[in-house]
Amino acid sequence: MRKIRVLIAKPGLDGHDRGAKVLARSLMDEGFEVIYTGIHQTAEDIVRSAIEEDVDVIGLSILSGAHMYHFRRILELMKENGLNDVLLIGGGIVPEDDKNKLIEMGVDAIFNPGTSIKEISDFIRKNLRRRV
Amino acid sequence: MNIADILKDRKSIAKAITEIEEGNTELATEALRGIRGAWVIGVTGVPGSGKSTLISKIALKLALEGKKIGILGIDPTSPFSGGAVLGDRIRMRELNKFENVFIRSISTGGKLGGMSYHTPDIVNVLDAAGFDTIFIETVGTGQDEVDVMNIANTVLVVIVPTLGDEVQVIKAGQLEIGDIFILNKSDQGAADEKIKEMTLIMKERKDGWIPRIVKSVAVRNQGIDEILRLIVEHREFIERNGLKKNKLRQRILYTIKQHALNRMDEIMKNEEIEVYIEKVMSGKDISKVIDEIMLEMGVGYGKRGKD
Repeated sequence: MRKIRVLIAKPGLDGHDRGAKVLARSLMDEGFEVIYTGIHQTAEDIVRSAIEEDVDVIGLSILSGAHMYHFRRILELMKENGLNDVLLIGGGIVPEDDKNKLIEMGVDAIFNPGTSIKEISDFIRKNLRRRV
Repeated sequence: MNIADILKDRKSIAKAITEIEEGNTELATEALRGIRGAWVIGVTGVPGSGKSTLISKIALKLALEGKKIGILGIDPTSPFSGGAVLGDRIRMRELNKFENVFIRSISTGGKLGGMSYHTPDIVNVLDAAGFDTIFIETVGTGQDEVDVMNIANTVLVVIVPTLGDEVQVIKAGQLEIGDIFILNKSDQGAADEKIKEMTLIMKERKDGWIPRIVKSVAVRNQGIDEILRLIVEHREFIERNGLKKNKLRQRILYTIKQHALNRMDEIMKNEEIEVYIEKVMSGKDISKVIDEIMLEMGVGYGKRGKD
């Protein structure tokens, strides 16, 4: 049986990656294979990595406030490349209004600070679009 | 099935790799049959020695020449959760802009030796897909991980100046398999001292090749041209002496062996194997019980291809 593969990336200029690293490590402890691509990723970098790594989930960590821009662009590229079966989730500082807009746009979930690892891993397992 | 038709773009190559990791042996077989003869470069060395950065710098130069480059980065699987953090791409970001580069991260799945069971299959997929040069970055290794020599045409062993003395250098294991040694981070510690220690083992190999050593500082792009020159020199040596087909045969045999070991491993993980405890304890010879296990449990593993 293969493991669920999760790409964790930080788009744009935000370089605060402690949270992303903690999440990568914690998801490993939950039995996921986490591909950690690091900071300063463009949307193109992220979607390309997701294709090559054939991941089940893309997880973005954004603390900069540029979440509307990055998620929109990544959703566009995911659509262009036919990644319909890949979950897109995010974490960071996202105001409630924006969160609702992002979900409407097609983001699967946004996790704010204080979310437990269990909540995130349960969400992934329950909402997977691909067979593992 | 024509493998070249299946591996038509980035996405289909990625999907094929997943299918093989899930146990599709028909696809693995077709990939073997579709091998075109890519130059496979194994890169091994201790964790943090700079393998990913070196590969990124070397691959960048080859990519600029228009070569099709495949890179497999292997990281360890957690013995507790079965999960993994695969982080080799972090150092390879500058390769993302190239259409002619493909990178895939792989977990060991707990297998020892520095690679996963399916690593040779994945090399074969990239070879069949038409990549010219394929890099395999093993897990960060210690002394005994030498498996990569079975699938690589050229083995690069990355060392750093600060570890051990001459006695470490003359021991068996990883330092025996390098065609080219790279003393990375050579701006730190006693680099020249290390080079002197290493000359002890720079002796002619069975195949006639004399290993080389080169200093580098990968993050500052120092030594990369010399490494590339030595890779070309080694490749020419192998081709001139008609050794390439031996290496290819060795890779094919290793691929088959890994399938055998993988199947054995799967059987050993099966809880039903407990029923054989009583047979051994009541006096039946262990070897005969193993014959029985292979016969009774060895069938039905994985998704079998056609006969």
